[in-house]
Amino acid sequence: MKLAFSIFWGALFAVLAFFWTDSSQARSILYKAAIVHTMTGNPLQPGEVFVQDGKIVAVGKSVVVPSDTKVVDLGDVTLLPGFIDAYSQVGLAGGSDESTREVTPGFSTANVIDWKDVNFREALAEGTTTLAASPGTQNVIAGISCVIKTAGTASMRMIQSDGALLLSLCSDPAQGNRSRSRPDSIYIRQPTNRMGVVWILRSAFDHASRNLPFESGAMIRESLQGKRPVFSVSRTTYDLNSLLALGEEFSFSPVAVGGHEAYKMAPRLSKAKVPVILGPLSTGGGQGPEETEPIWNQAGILSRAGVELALAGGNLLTQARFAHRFGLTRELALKAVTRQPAELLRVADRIGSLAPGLDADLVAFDGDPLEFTTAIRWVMVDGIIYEQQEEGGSNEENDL
Amino acid sequence: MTAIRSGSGLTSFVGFFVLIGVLLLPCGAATPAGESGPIALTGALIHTLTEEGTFVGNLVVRDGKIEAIGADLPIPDGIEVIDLTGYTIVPGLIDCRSVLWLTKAAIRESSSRGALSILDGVDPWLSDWREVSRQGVTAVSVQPNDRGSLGGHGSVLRVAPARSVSDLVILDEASVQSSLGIVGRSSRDRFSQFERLRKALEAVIDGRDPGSLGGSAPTTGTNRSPRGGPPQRGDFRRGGRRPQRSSAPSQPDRTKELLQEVVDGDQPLRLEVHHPDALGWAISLATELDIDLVLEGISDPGRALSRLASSGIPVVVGPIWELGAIPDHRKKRKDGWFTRVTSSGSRWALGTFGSEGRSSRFLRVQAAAAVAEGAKPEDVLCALTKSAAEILGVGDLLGTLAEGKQADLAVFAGNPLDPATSTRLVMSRGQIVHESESTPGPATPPTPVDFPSDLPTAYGIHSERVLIEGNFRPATMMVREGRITSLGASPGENEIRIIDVGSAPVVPGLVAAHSYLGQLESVTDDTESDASQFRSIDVADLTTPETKGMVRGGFLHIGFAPSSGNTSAGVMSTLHLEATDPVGNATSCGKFVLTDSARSRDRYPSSLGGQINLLEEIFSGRTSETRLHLPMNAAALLVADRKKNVGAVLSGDRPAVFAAESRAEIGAALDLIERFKLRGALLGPVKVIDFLDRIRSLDVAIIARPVAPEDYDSYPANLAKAAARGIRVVFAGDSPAKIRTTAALAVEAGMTEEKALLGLTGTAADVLGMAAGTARLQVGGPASFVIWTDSPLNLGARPTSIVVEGVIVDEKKMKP
Amino acid sequence: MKKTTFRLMLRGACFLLWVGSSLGAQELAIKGGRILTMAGEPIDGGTVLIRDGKITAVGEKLDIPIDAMVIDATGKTIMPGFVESHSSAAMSQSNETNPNVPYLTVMDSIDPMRAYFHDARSNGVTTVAVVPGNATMIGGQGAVIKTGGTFVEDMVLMRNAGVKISLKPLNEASRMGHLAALRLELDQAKKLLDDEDDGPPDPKKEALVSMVGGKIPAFIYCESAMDVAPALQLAADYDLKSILVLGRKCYLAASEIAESGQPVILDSTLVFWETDPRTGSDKKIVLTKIFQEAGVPFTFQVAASTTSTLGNNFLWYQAACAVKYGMPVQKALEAITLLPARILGVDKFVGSLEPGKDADIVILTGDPLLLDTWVETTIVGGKVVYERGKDRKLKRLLNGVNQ
Repeated sequence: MKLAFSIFWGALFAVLAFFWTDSSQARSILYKAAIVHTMTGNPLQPGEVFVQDGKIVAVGKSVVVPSDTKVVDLGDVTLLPGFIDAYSQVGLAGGSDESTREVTPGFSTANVIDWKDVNFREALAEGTTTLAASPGTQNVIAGISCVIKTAGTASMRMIQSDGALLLSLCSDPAQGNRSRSRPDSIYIRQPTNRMGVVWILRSAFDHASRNLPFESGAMIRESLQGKRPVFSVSRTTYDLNSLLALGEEFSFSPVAVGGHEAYKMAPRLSKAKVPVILGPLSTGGGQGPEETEPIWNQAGILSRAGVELALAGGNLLTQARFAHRFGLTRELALKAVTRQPAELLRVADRIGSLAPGLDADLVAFDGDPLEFTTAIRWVMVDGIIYEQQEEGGSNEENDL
Repeated sequence: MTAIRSGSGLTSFVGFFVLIGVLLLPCGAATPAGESGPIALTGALIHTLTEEGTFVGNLVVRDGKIEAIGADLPIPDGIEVIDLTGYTIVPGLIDCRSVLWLTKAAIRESSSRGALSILDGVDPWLSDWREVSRQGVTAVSVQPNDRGSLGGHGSVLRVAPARSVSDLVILDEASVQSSLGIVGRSSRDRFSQFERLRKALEAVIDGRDPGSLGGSAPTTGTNRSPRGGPPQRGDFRRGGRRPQRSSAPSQPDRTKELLQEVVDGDQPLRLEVHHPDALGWAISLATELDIDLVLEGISDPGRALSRLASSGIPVVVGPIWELGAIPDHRKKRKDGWFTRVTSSGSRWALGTFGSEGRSSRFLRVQAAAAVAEGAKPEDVLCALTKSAAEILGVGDLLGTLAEGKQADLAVFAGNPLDPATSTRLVMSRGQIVHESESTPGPATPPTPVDFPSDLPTAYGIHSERVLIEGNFRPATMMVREGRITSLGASPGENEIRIIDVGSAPVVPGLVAAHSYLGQLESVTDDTESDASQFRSIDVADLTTPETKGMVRGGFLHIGFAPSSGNTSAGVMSTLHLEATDPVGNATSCGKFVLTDSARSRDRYPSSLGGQINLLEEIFSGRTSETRLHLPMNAAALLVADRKKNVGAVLSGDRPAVFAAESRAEIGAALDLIERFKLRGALLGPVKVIDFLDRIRSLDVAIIARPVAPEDYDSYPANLAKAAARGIRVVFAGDSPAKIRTTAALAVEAGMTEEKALLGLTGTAADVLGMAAGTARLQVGGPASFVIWTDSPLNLGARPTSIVVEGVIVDEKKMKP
Repeated sequence: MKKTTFRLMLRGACFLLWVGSSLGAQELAIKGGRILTMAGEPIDGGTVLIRDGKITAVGEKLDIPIDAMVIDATGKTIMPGFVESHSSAAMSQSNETNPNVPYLTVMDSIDPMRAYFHDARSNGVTTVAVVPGNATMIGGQGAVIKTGGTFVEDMVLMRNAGVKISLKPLNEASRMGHLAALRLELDQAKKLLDDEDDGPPDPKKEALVSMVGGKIPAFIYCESAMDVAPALQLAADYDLKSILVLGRKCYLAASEIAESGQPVILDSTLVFWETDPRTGSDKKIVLTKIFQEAGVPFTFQVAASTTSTLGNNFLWYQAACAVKYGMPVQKALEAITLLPARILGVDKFVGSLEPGKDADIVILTGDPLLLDTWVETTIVGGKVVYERGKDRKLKRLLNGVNQ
């Protein structure tokens, strides 16, 4: 429905732009590429993407455009939608947690973005055009993420200021807390162990769902009812089990973030339709305070069991490449950094695939996007090209 | 024994790299960066600092040297000519005590080991030279730090881009470093340090082994003198420095070597002293043992003054204005120390004695401070150039503009001793290292004026330069019973006495828009992050030395603020110093803090997001209780007070001052100002450049914090850009020196003098919501004004008379 | 049931060991693959003949001796084993607490049972220079060893491969004191070298003396660009045969390094971003590009295998990264084979496939540096030390524990 709506607007826009403005010509460009991965169907070989005023107007093997449209033939280039990092701490300034309290659903990352953080540029250069700036894992209910572009003017970059509700159903919130030594102290933090984490979560949900007075109770209730995605950082099987249990208890459908041991219970997750946002993948040792076992092919194992999965946590391109090397199919590896995270963040009507009406966020590769040796030619956000590389891979200065 | 198998692999290894080396030779032969051909500088006012004096003329630079200089010097054909008509050329300025080029660790390291080479602590890739060069400084003296009894050599370095240490060195062994009384507090400590130094020198003179002076012998934390400062981390572990090794025959005896150089007169002993007793001993040492001495850092010559005068020992003085953190040994300096030291008649030079590489950018500020203290401008210029070069032992290369000298020079748009004057270009060894577009301005040094010490109830003052709305105009101001009765071209009443001050500026009392008046402790309370109930006025003490210092420095109006330790910090008040009723507005502004100074892991909030949430709660009236353990009615009263104060901000009665530095903090402050429709001001925003449009459209003022040593030039430049966009920029700080320096550097960076002067006066009063007419000269307003030797933006200017409500403020009363 | 499987596998392993050890004396032929010798043009469908752990012939149409064991590498790529030029991962502890230990040797610290060796073999690394870490001023002597073997003594290729010197000051102290202390040590060593006949040699100084004489190389770690000039100066003053181990900020001095003709070992982070504090503009730094353009020969280090690594803990990945940023594939492959062998002074034995060299060979499933290419077989000294099909660790990593 939403998609159809935006297609309509896109088309209308195109028509208006074509008839009424001359300057629009410079801003409408047809890109021809050897391969176009639309992420909505099979790759187009070759393919064409018609971009106008920062939006995709048409995609196809051959797109009909006004005769005087500027045509850019990219030659042997592969086009992909810009990558989306569904769980990132990039750009957060002044602390990614309000660690003096355990439950901070009101902590909104949209308030504390440093729009010029160098890490945005770093992510952009790696093909990541959108990321969900998420609060950290120190608090049991950590706050609300926001979905932002990695380039563009600040007012344009916020896609969704009220993103997912982040829970930390893991050992992190219990790290470094002390038991109450002075009963009168008002500045003491709970929990001190994982049971405490679950207890706080359960009582918060309980208060919220029963309309008892509770900080931001209404917001938690709405989230459980599905108004916004509920992401939970949970790595181990026992964390994931607790998450599934809480999901049943309070009838909400969570998304597991981290999920390093999710592969061990892939069928259950698949049955419960709990998607997993993996990452950051690593070939090194154990993950998180739980020191989970090293595993390389969680993505492949999960996908074979039918679990929807996205890759997140930075270096998306490298992650997708290694995930494919270790066993995730080519299609799913690409989907895991484009359309899948868009769907999990509920922004698929704007980004994540190449279709009319969607934002013109593209990555151009000088070859197979999944090969280690393939360089990114450029990255486009809202129709504007950034990080343009000369042929042969050198970096041209292109300030934002 | 090298390899298990035969070593012929090594031969091919070597061969391979010889080959590579040969292939690479052509690329290696590139010329040093920035080398330029011959250049003629024409038409400028040249201060040669030689017997040739000052004249308008030309100067030709070739191969890094001054080829020719003269009033009617013909320019050779075919060389590049830079027309500098209207500009002023001086020899490159020299900072005689700098830490430029040194790594942080080298600045910190206690160099009580003579074997250390300061050049090993030089990082030629550091970029701090840019800020320093921009101020016309072309050479600095870097030395081992002042903590040790005997350091190694000090070196004179260039201020220019470099790719290696050797690109920088002008003189590698310029002095031998020592100090008395920097560490240790009592006179006894100082004396024992002195005795050790004297005995060591005597031993060397007699050809004996001086033993360890904390010099060459390996000094571990354990065998250092008990008061010799805390052992530095790493000393214990430094490789090979074990006692048994110190007796190894190959151990170079650097103490003896270094002291021998001093005794032989190869280079002076550079001795930092602060107390009169140590100064006296040092002078005795130099005269009795007949060694070359350069004294530095003197805080108080005391009774040793006359001996200093007769000894002729050169002195490196500074800093005159403290713009960074003040180390303990300089905390007790008394006013006027600088005049007392330099009045001895000894040759003197200036050092910035900074803690950061970029601190040397304040050399011209220190020079201006010297002028403000009463030194003659020509003496100060000599101290920055000729004297400095001679004291550092590089007089044959630097310090004057004469044929054959190294082409180190600075071209200024006006008075070189006025830091608000921008630099047109700077040259080091003939290489242009800084260049900027600036238009020449007047180069008038400030002049003192005569002003009566007592004033009648009715009088007039005429000056060619009366500051009216940011501009100096000729005017006569009539005063009767503490009020300005008229202000215009002609005096209204005939029989009243008119005091003509000539061109001395008449300026309203300046405004420190945000200050703690040295009372930070009394305005700090970190019990709860919502401290909206606090009022700074309740703890204001107007008898402190800092307060009096403000008055003496020409600042009569203060925005007195609670500290930045709480997210809602409390209520600022405005004070009118020396006025009959010094309390202007007890509740002038609400102060809110988004910087990390109000974040604490021990209480809410610990993050910027938490600070924003807390302020949102406060502004939407959602906070209704205190977590303090108070009797119930006391808690209720406290909450009521908070609501009242916040309400006044929300209704627009009081401006809201937001402390915000980083981009995210500034963005958050602007969001809150917009959302709650506040009359806002940003305190101390640094990364402000991306927000100028928003700040302008929300009509938010900027309260600029003082320029700190660690700032880049972009900070004052951004203030200038903000002002150019029509944003009100006013100035904060705890001392007149810091506030005026910030304003002057903003002007140097391009802010108009009008905007800067308004920011120091009327605009600041407006931003703080002071009574209409405060910090302005206008009819009907109080006759509170200051007579200056020059514009307050010239840091060389100083107030000569301070008048509050028509009455001269008693100088004696102002003395601490 | 499981127990039986385990026993069977154990027996299988014993059998393999037996076969492996008896093979060493015999002949081995690898045939049918595309051979990248690194010493000339690639040979398609060629054969590598091995006898007694050495390569006897490499060519297109070679007769395979009748008694040779044959590995059919048809469709695969045959390469010299990779050479890692600087690693402390094989050591049980990479730094000493005493900052001055030139008399120590990593030989005493290498644990052949460490996971490092399995990972190295499975990633095609057959030779590694084990060198002490960067946190010791004079860190002891490195050794070049093979990655296949049970006892260190059987693995060593060059025992005294060089002394490690770090210019990074300890405990954030200053470079002044650090360099002064270092020069003091080198002065003493030079003195000992100059008057050699003065009594019996001091065993504690021996390594340093041979380093000062240029007999064994000096691995000099430069943390930042300002360390480069002192490193070159030390090399000149004390006749050191130096190998520069660079921190990432050293790229600023790339042209100075180029002038010196020194080969370098790059930091494991090859790409990073810097922000100019004055302008606020961000800049992407690609070390391989900078050093390639400056004309400095370089090889790679890999990152320590921590939780946050992905990619740059593999030597081949570093080469792939260099290719991504414009380095020709052939040069990138050289930078993980022949060039590090030359830098270490062991190119007579390893680094390329040529008759007479050690039979250190890696068989890849396809073209090197490609995503789907895996190490199929690793051979060290003519012995098969790794086969992917038998890599249980890899199976576990790819299939999970429960599968």
